[in-house]
Amino acid sequence: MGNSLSEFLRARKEQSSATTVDWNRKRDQWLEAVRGLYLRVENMLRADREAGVVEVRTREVPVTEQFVGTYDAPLLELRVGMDEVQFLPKGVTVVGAEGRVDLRGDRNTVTLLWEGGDRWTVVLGRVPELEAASLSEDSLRDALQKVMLPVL
Amino acid sequence: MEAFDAHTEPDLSSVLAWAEFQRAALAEAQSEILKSLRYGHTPSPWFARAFRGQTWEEVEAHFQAQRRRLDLLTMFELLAMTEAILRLDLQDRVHTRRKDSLSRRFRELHKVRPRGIRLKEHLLQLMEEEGVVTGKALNDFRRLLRLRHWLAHGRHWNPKLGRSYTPGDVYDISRRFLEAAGLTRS
Repeated sequence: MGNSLSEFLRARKEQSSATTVDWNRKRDQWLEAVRGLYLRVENMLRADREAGVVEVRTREVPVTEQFVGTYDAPLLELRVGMDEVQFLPKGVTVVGAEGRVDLRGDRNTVTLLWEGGDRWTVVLGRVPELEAASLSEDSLRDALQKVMLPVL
Repeated sequence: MEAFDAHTEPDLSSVLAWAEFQRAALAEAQSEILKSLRYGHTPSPWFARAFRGQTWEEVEAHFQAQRRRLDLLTMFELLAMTEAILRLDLQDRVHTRRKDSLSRRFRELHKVRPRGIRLKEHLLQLMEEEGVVTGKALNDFRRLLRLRHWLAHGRHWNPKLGRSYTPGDVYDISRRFLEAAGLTRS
């Protein structure tokens, strides 16, 4: 190839700089989107919350990702009777989406993907084909059913 | 060669060549997906759909699992190919009526058992008795048969292999065994 080791490494560094993503900006936009998601979920649950059916709590958790490093992100917890589910922020470096939050319960975990703006998709299944729906009260209900233990 | 034709010239090197190609294809696929994460773009549509929402670590773990499965399949194919070489040699010794003592013993065995000649209990046993393959080359290959058994029967138990194997190990042991038996072409 005729490149010395130094030439090779310099060319790689230049390429890397030219295509660098502003990870800090991506992280900040992502955190704003996560807060927006939680507000939206809380709005969906407002009446049930006021009726004492569901308790809602948020706290900060550390998230560590390739390229972004470690940062604090909000986690949302819902408690319905003996069931507890968590909206866990996974991060901004995900394939084919702008970010990901996992909805985790005692039975299973469902993925929520941020598509940008205020658009969120709920991934309800992957096998045999990817089954996804825009976030709505219906898709949130389906997701909660998937992650919570079935009643006796 | 059609998909279900008999292998008339089984060859261990072709298995390794196939495995190397598969590894390279996996590396390219992994590279495309991880590059898309690093540089913030979407990979090709098939990958975007198949890996949608996965993190860097999950993509790495997926490909690690793929490579592991490829290694197991490669080892199985190498052992199956070695058996094919031995069985073609058996057929040759039986039908061409060679005069050496192993060929005579194979013909006697074939008369008694036209079907159901077993690799370990019959072929390897006779090869050892006639001094065709002995010592380390034979023992190392015999120990591989436990791996072959596990791979062939769906890997549904924890095998006691005494050591771990890579495709390279299986190739080396099988090739040394075949060389000792005078069954390699080059």
